[in-house]
Amino acid sequence: MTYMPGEKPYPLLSVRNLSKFYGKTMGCHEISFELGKGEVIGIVGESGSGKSTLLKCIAGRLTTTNGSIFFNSSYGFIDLCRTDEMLLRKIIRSETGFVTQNSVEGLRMTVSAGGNIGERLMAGGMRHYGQIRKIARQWLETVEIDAKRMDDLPSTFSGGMQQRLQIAANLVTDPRIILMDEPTSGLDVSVQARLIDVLRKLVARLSLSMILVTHDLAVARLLSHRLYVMKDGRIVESGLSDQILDDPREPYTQLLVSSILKP
Amino acid sequence: MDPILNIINISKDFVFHHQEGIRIKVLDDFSMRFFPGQATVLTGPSGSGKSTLLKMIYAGYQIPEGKILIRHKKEWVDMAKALPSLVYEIRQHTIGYVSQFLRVLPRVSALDTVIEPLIARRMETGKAEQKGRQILERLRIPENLWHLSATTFSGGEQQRINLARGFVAPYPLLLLDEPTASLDPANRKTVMDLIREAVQDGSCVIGIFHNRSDQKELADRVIDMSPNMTSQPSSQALEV
Amino acid sequence: MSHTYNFAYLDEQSKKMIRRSVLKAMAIPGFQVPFGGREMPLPYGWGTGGIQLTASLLGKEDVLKVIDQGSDDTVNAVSIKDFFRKTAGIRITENTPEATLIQTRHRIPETPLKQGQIMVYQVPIPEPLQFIEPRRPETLKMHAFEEYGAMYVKLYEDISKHDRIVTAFDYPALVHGRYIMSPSPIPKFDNPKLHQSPAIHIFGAGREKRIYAVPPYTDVISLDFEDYPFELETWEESCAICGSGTSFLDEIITDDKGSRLFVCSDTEYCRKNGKKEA
Repeated sequence: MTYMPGEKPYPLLSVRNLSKFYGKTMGCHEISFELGKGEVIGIVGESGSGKSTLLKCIAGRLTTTNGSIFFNSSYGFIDLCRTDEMLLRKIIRSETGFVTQNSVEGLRMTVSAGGNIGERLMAGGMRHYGQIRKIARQWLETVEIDAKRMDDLPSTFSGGMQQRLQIAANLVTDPRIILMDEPTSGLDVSVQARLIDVLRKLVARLSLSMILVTHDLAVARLLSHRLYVMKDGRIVESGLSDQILDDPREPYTQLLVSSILKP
Repeated sequence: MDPILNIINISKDFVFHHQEGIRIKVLDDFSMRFFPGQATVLTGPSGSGKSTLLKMIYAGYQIPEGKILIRHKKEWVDMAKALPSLVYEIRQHTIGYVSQFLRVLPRVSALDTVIEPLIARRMETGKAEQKGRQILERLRIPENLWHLSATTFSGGEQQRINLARGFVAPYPLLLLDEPTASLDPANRKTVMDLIREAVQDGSCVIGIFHNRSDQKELADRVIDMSPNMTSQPSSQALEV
Repeated sequence: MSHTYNFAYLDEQSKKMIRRSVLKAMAIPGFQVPFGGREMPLPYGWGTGGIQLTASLLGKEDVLKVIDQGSDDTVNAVSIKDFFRKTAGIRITENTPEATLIQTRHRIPETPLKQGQIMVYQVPIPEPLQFIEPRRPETLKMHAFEEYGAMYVKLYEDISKHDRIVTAFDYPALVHGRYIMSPSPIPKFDNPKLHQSPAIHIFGAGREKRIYAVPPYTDVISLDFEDYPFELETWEESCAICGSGTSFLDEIITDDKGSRLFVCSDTEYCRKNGKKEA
């Protein structure tokens, strides 16, 4: 997967030597990887390994200290770290999706479920109420939320429903890349299973391109084609998901894999 | 006839960093060619690298040394160097891998689990389900279970779901890791039939069978993986 | 110690500063221009933004009209008129066509405005995006980058709850095809009067220290959906006093048995109209 600048065809995303420091504290350091279209990458590692920092840099939610994030956007193959803010926000808003662990961050809790799904459509210029409703209804059904709940506030939803609503609100404009930050954390196991199932179906049906940050290796295996293992802000090992989980080479990966409880 | 798989000088060791750095060498400079319509049985004591070899061919294990060349859509591809997207494509169309263990998913019906390889090949759902039902029937899974998630099934049922999934789509190269272990005689016979049919249809089968009679029944060729037995004449390796 | 106020209370430097902000606001229709708001001898919320604008714009020849909720003689309107009568000594009127500057709280007169007139609005909350995004740096960017999807979310929520857009006051509008503006709490009934108006409309928020404007003959389009177009409220009743069937009506409870009357909110228009009818 060596890729030289200017070479075609471009990958969907090419992160090069990305570093993020919080003052003197390192968030992530010299991260390089690529994501192809229709590919799901899992980033695993324990809390504080820098995986969420990395994801937030790609999502434009943190400014990077060094390096580049090339994204194959509808405006061309551009470095998100060196794009003017107006274009950056436009691309982030319409061509990327971000699902967070904490749905309070990812949803407008005072706006109905339908309004949450509709916002991206309206931001994109859709001005037909009936059409917005129709699309919102379809997406609620896709993520297995009863369409009758369309006018209810997300605060009346369970944790799992909120996460599924977040996914619908992000996917509604068909973004080129989906970024997920621990989407299954903090959910009961049975609720998790449903969320993972919904995600799995969406990945298969829509050929989603996705970066999934998780500390749950089972989730990572199930959804990702490839895995990157992070420790102390750096990538220590990467490869096909089954290679990393079944044949880990690095001491840290071996520790991580051997630490899982198998029921 | 051209081989479908050409393994050249692969070695594999495992280092256990958290167990005093023990290093276990499992494969040492192994080379071998495999042909369409040929059934090869791997034998040898536990730990001799039979499963490791299958997993390396499937690229489920990393391939640190040597080449594993596979003919995929008339092109030779080295699994050790193939881009991940190509590995996934090869797994979808060229290499099938069946173990005795099913990775069960909650909320996914047995039928959907079985036909997943067909859906991945973009087969129309109705047709895929028809094929899925046929193979589930052949493996004697009661029809009232087809629409339930396999999470609640018995070990034997799960194993047969996994076999159904492995045989529902044809693959030019089929890797079998003890597929008949702990099956009842009737289902064992069905699985043996399925394997024979695959070979007759031109698949190259490489399998590990615990049962000696299974080994004898199938093998066009037996490779003893015991230490000191695996050094193959390098002339067998096909350079491409 | 004898003391006379400067003309129209504010010192000339402050007036200049405010006028500069007004000019900028006129140059960028609908854009909220920050200004160095001065302390006025009345509390925030009583129209300090409007009064500073009026004070800065008044000349000796100007004729001032002040209305509050359409009325020329409520406490707020009367007090502001007194204030400028005392500090500027200018002529005060209730007659809309005669006024050169009209300070208003929550209404636009029914009598059509004409070229040369200035409307000054008292604004409590200048930021239309505030309800959905409380952070000022963020709303600045949303305006700058025309990220107005969230504005429609509010209207969407209205329809989903009530099957129509129930926002009746402070109805957001797009100015000159660029900035979304809060027209201050005027009824949406008055929004169309802003569109292509020959007069100048200037909005002042004292607490928030921001000024924005609609220059003459500028597009002011109320936001709506294709299938839920912007609509004006209508009344089945006519004004109980003047009989007008086209003006904005206030509902007045006349006793404790639930009897009610509908009368013009614009008192000056009502008076004139009544005379005409009679």
